[in-house]
Amino acid sequence: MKMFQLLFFTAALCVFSCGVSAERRIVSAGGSVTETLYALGVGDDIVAVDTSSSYPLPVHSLPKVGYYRQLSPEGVLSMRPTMLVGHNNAGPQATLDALRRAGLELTLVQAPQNIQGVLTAIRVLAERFGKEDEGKTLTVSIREQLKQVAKEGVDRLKVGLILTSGQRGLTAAGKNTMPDDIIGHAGGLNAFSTHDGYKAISPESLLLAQPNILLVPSHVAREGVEVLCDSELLTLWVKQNGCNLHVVDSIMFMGMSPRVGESVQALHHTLSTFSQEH
Amino acid sequence: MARVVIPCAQSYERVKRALSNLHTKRQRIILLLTSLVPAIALWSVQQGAMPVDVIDVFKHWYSNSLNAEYAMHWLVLTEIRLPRVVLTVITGSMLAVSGAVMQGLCRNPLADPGLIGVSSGAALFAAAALLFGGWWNIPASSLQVVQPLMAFGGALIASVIVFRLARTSTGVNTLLLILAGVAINALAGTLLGLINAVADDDTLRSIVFWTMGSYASVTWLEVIITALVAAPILAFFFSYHQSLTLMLGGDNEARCLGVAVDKVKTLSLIGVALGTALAVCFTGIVGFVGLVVPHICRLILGPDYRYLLPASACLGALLVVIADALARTLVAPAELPVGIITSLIGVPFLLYLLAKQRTRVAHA
Repeated sequence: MKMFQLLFFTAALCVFSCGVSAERRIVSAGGSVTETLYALGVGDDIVAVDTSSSYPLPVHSLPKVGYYRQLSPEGVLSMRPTMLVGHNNAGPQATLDALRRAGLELTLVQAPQNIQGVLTAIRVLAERFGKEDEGKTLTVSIREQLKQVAKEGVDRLKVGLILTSGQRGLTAAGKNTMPDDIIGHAGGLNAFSTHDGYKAISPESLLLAQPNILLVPSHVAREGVEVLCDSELLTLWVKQNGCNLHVVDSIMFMGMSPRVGESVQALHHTLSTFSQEH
Repeated sequence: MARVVIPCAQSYERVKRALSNLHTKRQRIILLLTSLVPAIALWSVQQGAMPVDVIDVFKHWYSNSLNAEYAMHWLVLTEIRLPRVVLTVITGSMLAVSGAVMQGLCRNPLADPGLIGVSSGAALFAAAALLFGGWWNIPASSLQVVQPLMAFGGALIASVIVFRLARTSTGVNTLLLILAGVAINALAGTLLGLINAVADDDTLRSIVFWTMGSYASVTWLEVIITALVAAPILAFFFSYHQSLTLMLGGDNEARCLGVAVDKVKTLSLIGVALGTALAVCFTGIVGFVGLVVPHICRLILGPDYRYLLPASACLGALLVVIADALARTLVAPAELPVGIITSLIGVPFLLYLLAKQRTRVAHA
């Protein structure tokens, strides 16, 4: 048994020491990690992604190893990766242990919950892949976009992001969510800051929160804004405020995408237009 | 079952010979099933996202010529595939045998181990572990140990409550057992629904995945623990096959024939609870094995537990091994939950049994 272990270690060492100098094959577990890697210019080395990765376009042709919290060790290893990059809540833990035992290098970053988190994740990944310059450029550009928005003041409008699941109800983004942070940076007020995280709310709670504008992610608003405004869940609010629903890109707004600066700018523009019209 | 026509005089000799032939025939079927298990297991070991040729890898390992590529294959084989296949064999046979025993104890063809609340109790406590793990930020490495423990504990707690409710002064009452099981299952289901309602998206997804069952990332430690507990339970059931068969005719009838009915019932229920709890605590709920496999075996071999138990064990193992192989190849490199596959295979069989039952009832 000892002989076998020695042999195996030597073999594995050879495999992975060769791997580092030769080809780098990355499995990316987490939509925002995938996007950040592409933004840093490491995208070409990605050989497989998880099911939550959907941006940029090239990932759609890559094999999917499953949801990032339900990875299977064999599925990941069958891609012959040299490393796995993902959120720190990728899992399950047993899979990560099995992958570590296989000699796979794991780079896990804290899943960002706000814009600062996104910037930290970009920095960590940039350092890991020796792309500090690209990382700095990216973070600087995001900061610039935020600064620009902050300079142009805007009325503190009450904004909220909602999701609907058919006729079953509304879910609203409360404190400590990405939409909350984006709304804050864009100069608005999160109408749903009374609760934490994404929680179900009733149509009455919606009225109580009195948002001026509601944001709807694109994957929810597939049939168009009018259909949503007609639904029973929003009827009362629409009667009061009119159909002030704006569609936002799901990944840019709810994911932890490096394009978050654009989201803030876009929302800021929406808010200023709304203020001018009303 | 073979029809034995008995004429008058030489009836005894003829019956004896007919039964002996039947016995041999059934023995052969069981032998066939038993030999299929290692064969299918070997086939299953080679299936997966990474194709592994066992003979090849072994040859290389034996001749100490494991180069880089074969080192990875060896790793996948020994650390990932083998524990997985071995666990599917053990849990498959455990679930099927538990189902066979439950159907006999309750004298009801729809009985399965879940009746006594094992599965729903396990699911409830596992979901609670995931929920509180998220709320209290318990590190994933601790959760890895806590969750199976909670699932096991939950399964046992649910079954103990059901037993207590079903216990009367004259032992475990079968009707009360079924009713208590329904009640506890409903309670556990409600509480699980509550957990689902308050859980955030990520936790909810993890809970749903767990309840559908998966053998991915199974370790040798889990295999050893399961084997150590499952072996004596299976041995117990096999040794009590005669009592179980006699109890099919009714509790009082079995008592008159000398069976210690209460003792057998109590021990069997404990065995079913422990065995099923163990089978689901590491991997989640694998459904339909305990329900459908004993029925299929009964169709081929009759209700005698002497043949039913070993056959169910083999067929249960085969079903779960094949289901797991499919689970990890159908959408490779991702994986399907194995419970889905066993249900997909099990439901058509159940419908077929139902149709057969209808015809039998119509002709009666």
